[in-house]
Amino acid sequence: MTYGIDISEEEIRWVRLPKGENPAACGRIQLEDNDRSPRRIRQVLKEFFSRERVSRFVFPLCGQGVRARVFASDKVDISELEDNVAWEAKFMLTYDTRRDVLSFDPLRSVGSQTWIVAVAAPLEVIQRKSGLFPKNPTHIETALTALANAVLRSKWGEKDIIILHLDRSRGFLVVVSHGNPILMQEIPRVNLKEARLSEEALSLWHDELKIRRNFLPQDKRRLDHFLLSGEAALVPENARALGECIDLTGEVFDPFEGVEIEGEKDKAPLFTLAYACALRNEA
Amino acid sequence: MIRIDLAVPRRRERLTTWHYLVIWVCVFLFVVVGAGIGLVFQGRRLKSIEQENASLRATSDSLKTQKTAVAHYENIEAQYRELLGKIEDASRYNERYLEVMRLLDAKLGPRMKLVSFQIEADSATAMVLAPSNLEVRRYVDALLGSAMFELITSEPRGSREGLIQHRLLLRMR
Repeated sequence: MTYGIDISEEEIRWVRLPKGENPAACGRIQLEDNDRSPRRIRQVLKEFFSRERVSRFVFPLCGQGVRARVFASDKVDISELEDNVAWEAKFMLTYDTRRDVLSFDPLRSVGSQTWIVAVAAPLEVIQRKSGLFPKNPTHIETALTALANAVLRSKWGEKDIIILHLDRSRGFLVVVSHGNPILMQEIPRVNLKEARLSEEALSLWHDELKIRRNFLPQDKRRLDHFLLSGEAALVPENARALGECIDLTGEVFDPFEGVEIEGEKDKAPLFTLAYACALRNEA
Repeated sequence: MIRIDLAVPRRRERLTTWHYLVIWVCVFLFVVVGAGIGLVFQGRRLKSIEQENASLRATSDSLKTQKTAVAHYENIEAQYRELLGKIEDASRYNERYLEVMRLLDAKLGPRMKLVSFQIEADSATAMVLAPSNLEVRRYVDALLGSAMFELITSEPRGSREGLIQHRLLLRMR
């Protein structure tokens, strides 16, 4: 069985997806307000790994120089594809071979083009984050690709949607169009003060979402739905209000829809990233 | 599903004070155990050397005894050789004595007698009885002619059994 483990500012969220007929499970481990140091997180994770006998796990990487880019390549030859990835990584991800680790995955082809996801992250950040865990991870995802995977695996996967995963201190935005992620961006300096977004906060997010949508190609800006995930999604009104900001129907994203799972299913939006990471079990 | 993976081999964790302490204890135990094993082997070696030493001491004692025995034997041998020398000397003396005595007896004239005879290292003394001094004179000449004596002095010492007794002092060559 594989665990998806998402470490947020305030808590550790985990999802366990077993192979076979057993039900999945999810849970949270609160981090005390007075001690959220790496040492404390390491200790909590060590106890968790020992208690749950975790052997395989995937965690999402975010912040501090983690970059992701989706681009279309009209080349199909593998060597040319690699050249394209190298070019995009160098100029669009500012990939530095001495400092960063790069990973990419060709997605489905649309017409003569192949969509490719490339991510880069500083080696030091990867090592520091994976150093929190008592074991080596099976894979290291990024929060952006995990969010995209969560959507792609859901009923929304084949539609044109924009999803915002909003926690108290972090935000990730992904746009999916017909089974391909076309935009993946981490939103910096997020500071969610209240569970229910105030008028002021909604105004700020209105501007933020409009700007982000402008990153999309002209022909891809027409979207069907706005989905909200994360802590902000625990208040359904937030999803509706944020959707209205960009003239879309807003809904709460439930990663566990159609999934038999034990634990806090009523707080499913919290587990979007952890669940998507655990899905790597099938990969 | 997007399959990207940023996993890299994890760097080595920094060693904490506890790690250093455990390493130190391990090194200490290793050294102590190593030293203990070394001492045991050294002890066995020393014991072996001690046994060898005892064996050598026994051999040395045996050799000393043999050396004493050899010295004693050499002493006996020296005494034996000394005895042999004395026997040889005595034999030579006897041979000479007999030779001188045979010569003294052989050269006696008619009615002459050899009463006594004594031999020294380079001289001999003989007491003879003779009917006359002339006979003694002839006897001395005969002895000188044998080339065994180089000088003979004759001294009359009275008479005995009706014969003149002479004491002859003979210097031998």
